[in-house]
Amino acid sequence: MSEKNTDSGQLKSLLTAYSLKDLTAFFTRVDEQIVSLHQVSSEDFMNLNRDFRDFHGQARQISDNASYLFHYITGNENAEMVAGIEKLYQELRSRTEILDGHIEVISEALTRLLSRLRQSFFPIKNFKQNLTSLKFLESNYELKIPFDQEREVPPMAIQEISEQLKAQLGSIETLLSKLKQMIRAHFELKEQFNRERSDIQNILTLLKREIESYSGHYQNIREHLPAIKTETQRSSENIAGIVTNLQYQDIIKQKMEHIQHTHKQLLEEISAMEQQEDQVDDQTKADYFIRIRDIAGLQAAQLMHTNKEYQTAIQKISDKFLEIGQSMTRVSAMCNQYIASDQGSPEFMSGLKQNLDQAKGQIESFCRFTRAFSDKRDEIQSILDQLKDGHERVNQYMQQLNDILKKTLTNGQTESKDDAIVQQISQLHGDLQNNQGLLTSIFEDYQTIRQELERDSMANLYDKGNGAEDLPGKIRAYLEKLGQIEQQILEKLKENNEKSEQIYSEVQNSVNRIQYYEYFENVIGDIIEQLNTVNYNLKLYSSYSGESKEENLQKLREYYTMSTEFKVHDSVSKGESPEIEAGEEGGDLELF
Amino acid sequence: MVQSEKKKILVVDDSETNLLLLSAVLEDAGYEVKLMSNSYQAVQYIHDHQPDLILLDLLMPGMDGFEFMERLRNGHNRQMYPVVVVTAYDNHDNTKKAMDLGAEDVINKPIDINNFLMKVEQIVN
Repeated sequence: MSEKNTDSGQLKSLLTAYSLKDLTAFFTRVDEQIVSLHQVSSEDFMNLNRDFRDFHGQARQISDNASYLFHYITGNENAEMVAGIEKLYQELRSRTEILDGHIEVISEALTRLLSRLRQSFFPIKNFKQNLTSLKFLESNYELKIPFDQEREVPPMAIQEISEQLKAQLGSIETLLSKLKQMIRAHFELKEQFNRERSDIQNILTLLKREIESYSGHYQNIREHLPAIKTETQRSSENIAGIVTNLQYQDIIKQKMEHIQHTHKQLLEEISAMEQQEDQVDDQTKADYFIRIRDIAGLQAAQLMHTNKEYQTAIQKISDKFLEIGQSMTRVSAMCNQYIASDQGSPEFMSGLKQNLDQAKGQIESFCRFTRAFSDKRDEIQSILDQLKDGHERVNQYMQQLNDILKKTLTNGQTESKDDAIVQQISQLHGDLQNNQGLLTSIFEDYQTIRQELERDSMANLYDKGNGAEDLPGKIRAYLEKLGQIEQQILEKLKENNEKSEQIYSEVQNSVNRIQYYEYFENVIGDIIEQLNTVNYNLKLYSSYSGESKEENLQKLREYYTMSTEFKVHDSVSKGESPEIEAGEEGGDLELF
Repeated sequence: MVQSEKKKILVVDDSETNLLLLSAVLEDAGYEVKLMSNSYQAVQYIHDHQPDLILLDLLMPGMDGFEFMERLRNGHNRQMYPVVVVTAYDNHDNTKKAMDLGAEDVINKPIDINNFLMKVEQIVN
């Protein structure tokens, strides 16, 4: 115990500064005010907590969506698709070049074939005319074909062979006419293809440009990924800060409860003192008043710190809420800016889609041309094969005719006739052999051209699984994929736009809903002022010293659970001014 | 957190704001969260539902955190559940007492969300 002051004047003044009733009323009033602070802070923090729960989920969804969008567009799946379209473009270009090559080779061969074909008609007509002359000679001069009646079958009559030959030459003429039509059809098809070819080239050029634009766009998006990450990171930090600051409601509540516990105890002591007031001597009463003075001073300091914590926490939560709202609006704006167009759809995709769609039409047309050219070539080859067969039959008949005529001329069957007839037959035979030779020369050229056509196979252009026929299917698959990507992007963008607008408006509302911010400050300020007044009024009699301040306040330590309470207590006990800042996130304020 | 089945976490705290806050943080991290402000009910819940982790406040009206852990340890089925004490009571004696009673860890308040979730995940998995 400290040394007692015996100044009776000072002691009297101290004892008359407050009555026990005044003190009871004072602590009761302060307790009521603290209860009201509990209520308002609880209400504000509960609302903030609920709002935080919503914002947290929404902010995470926006960040996830943005991250998904950026990674989706710049990711492997999209890159593979672009590479696939690029490959498709190369394939289309290559196939048009291959088809061009085929058409040129075939056209050159067919030009030669047509020229040779024109040279065929006259020799055939001549051939037929000579055969007619032979028939005439045979019927007029009754040429007999010598043969060994015991060993040989009678040979065909010259007339019969001539008829067969003429029929065969007639078939060849028909085939040649058909061939001529086919060649003309090929050149008409070529002209038609040349007219549409420029469209295919144009669409390929556009497609190439769109692929480059698409690739360039997602490269551009990739470059903006760090900005999205920064915003997401900022949002996470704000969320972490809000979590920390929301915990101060419990810290503040407990600190005020500790003050209430002390007041409750003081009220009980005052009540006991009132009941035995006659038995309590002035000295004891004065010591008690001095203790109240020191407690009031300490609690004023504790509450000043508590108020600072409250205001700081509310301010930080509000700021971080607003920052999250702004951050999410920026994320959404970045998504719109880099991914969507002014119309809200990914413009960079529509160009590619449109050109792919057109390319699909052109490729289908290209395939029809390829098939048509190939069919024409096959038909021409088939006619050439038939001509070859016809020519072989002509040769066979000619062989028979040669044999008969040789025998007839050498065996003297014409002896009874005059030399002029023999001469005529011999001349005719020679003409027929010339006709055959000329025809053979032309038909050999036909077969050479036939082999050229055979060598220049177009099968690779339209074979299933490897040919152009598969290209429209591939394009359809890419169009579907692009459609899916576009759909995904639009859905996420729409969701983000809606959520960011919502979160932006809700954080404003949430901050505006903090209704007791000033009330808390005013009431706690009023309590502090009252405590300071009690402290000040009792300090007027400071020349009286009861128990030391440290001893007076010692009992309060048992209520504390937080390090800052101890720090404020120790500073005040030593008569120092407490200089403890309100806690930062992860700071040293602690609670149960 | 990628898990096919959500891990169950029971939070026992008498502060409604703390419960709300922890549920927001934990649910967002993918856990199934049960909140209890009454430690007597919490003991019953544990026996019926076997949570994967209990986050426990120390100072609660009625049965405090220490008594709660004693009850768990001496319960009729004596099954041990992972308990993490969430407190700022950085008093060495209390931390030791909590650890002696079987707490897996003691996390000081105010919690830092990232460290807190990291510790929870370590313990749960």
